[in-house]
Amino acid sequence: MGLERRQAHKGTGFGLVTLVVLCLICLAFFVLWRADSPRLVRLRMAISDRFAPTIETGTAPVIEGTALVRDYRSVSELRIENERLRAEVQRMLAWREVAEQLEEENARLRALNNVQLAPRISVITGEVIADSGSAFSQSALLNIGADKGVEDGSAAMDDQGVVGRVVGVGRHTARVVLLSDPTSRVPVNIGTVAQRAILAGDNGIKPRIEFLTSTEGIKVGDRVVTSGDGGVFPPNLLVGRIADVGRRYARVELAANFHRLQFIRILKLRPQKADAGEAGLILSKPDSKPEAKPVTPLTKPAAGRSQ
Amino acid sequence: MPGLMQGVGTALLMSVLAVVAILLQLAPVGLAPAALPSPQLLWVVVLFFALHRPEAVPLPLVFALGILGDLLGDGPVGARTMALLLAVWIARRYLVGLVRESPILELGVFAALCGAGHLLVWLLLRLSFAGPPRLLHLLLLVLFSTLAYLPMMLLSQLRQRARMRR
Repeated sequence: MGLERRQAHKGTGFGLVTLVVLCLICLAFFVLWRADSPRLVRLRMAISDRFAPTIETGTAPVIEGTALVRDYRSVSELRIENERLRAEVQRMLAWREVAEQLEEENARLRALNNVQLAPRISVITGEVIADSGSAFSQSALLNIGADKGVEDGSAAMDDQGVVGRVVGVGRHTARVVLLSDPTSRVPVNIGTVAQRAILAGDNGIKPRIEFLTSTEGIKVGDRVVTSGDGGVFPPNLLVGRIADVGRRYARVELAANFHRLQFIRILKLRPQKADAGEAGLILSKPDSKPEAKPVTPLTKPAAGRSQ
Repeated sequence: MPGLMQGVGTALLMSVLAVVAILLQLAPVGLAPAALPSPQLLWVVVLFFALHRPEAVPLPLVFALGILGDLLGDGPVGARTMALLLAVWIARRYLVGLVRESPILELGVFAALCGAGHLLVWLLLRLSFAGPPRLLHLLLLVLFSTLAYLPMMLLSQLRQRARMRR
C-alpha cells in the first residue's frame, strides 16, 4: 500500500513537472509571437504551406455546404448565369489583347519623350482556403504565395474595397490580416478635409479612426481612402465610409464585402516599363531625320452578346 | 500489455479526431467581423478524451496538438495551448469521477474548463496589450463549443448503454 502510494505520488510529481515545463515552452512561444519574431512567422507559413492541400480538402465540404445554404438557386438560373459568364470571359480576353497592344505602344511613346510615370499596380488573385480559426484574430489564408509573386506587406482588396494586408508569405500560401484585426493599422485620408489618421482594427465591425486632430469637417458618409503614407498601401484605395463621429473619434463602415470573401486580390507595385524599341525620336536631333514608324492597326474585339 | 495497447489506440484515435477538428475549425465560413465565433472543436475532442479516457491523453500529445492548431490558425501562439494543457491536467486530476455522475454535470464541467481557459488567454492578451476580443465573443465561443460537445457526450452515453445491455 505504501509503495503504491509512493508510486502514485511520483507519477503526480512527474506530471506536474511535465505540465510546468510545457507551460513554460508555451509562454516562450507566446513571447515570440508577441514580439513578431520573423522566425515564428516563417515557421507558421512553412506549416501552412505543408498543410495547405489538406486544409483545402478538409474544409471543402464545410465551404460547399455553407455556399449551398447561402446561395440556393434553381438549376436554370445557374445555367443562364454560366452562359453569361462564358460570353463575358470571351469579351474580356479579346479586350485584353487590345489593352496589351495599347500598353506597349504607350510605353514606347513615353520612353521616347523620357516621361517617368508613377509605379503601376499589378494584381494577383487568390482564393481564401482558411480563416484564423479563433475569435482572437481576424485573418485569412490564401492559396497563393511567393511562387505567384506575393510579397510581405502588400495590400489586399476585394472588388469593393481594401480587405487587409499580407503579413506572412510561404511558398504556396499567404496570410492576410483583415482590417478588423486588433493588430491592423492603416494610414488613411478622410473625405473632403483630407485629414490624415490611422484606421485601427478592434475586432469589431466598424473599426475606429485614431490620431484625429479634430473631427471638425468630418461627417457621416465621408469616404475614407488609403493615404499611401509609409509606403504600406498604394494611395486612394477605398477603405469605407464614416459611420459614426464623436468628439475625438470616428468609426468606419468598411467597403469590402466580408460576408462573401472568397477571392482576394493582392496588389503589387511595379514600375512602369519603358521600351525604347526601334522607333525614331519625336523630338529629333538637327542632323538626323526622324524615321516613320509603322503603327500597328488596332483590332476591335468582335461584338459579343449584350448583357 | 493489452491495457497499454488500448491506451495507445485511444490516443491515436484522439489525435486523428483532433487533427480533423483543427481542419474543420479553419473552414472560412465566418470571415466577417460580425460573424459568430466558431466552436473550439480541438477543445471539445481533447477534453472529452481527458474526462473519459485520461490515460490516453498524455500532456506532450496535447501540447503537440495545441501548437499545431495555433500555428495552422492565427492568433496567439502558445497561449491557447497553455490554457488547454492546464484544462486537461485539471480534468484528469480532479474531475474524471465527477463527470460520471450526470451528463449535465459533464456539460457544465466542459463549459467551465473551456471558459476558464479562454479567459486566461484573454487576460494574457490584455496584459500584453495585444487587443483581446470582446468578452461577449468569448461567451459565445464557450456557448458554441459547449453545444458542439453535446453530440460527443450523447454518443458516449449511447455507447455505454449499448455495452450495459450486452
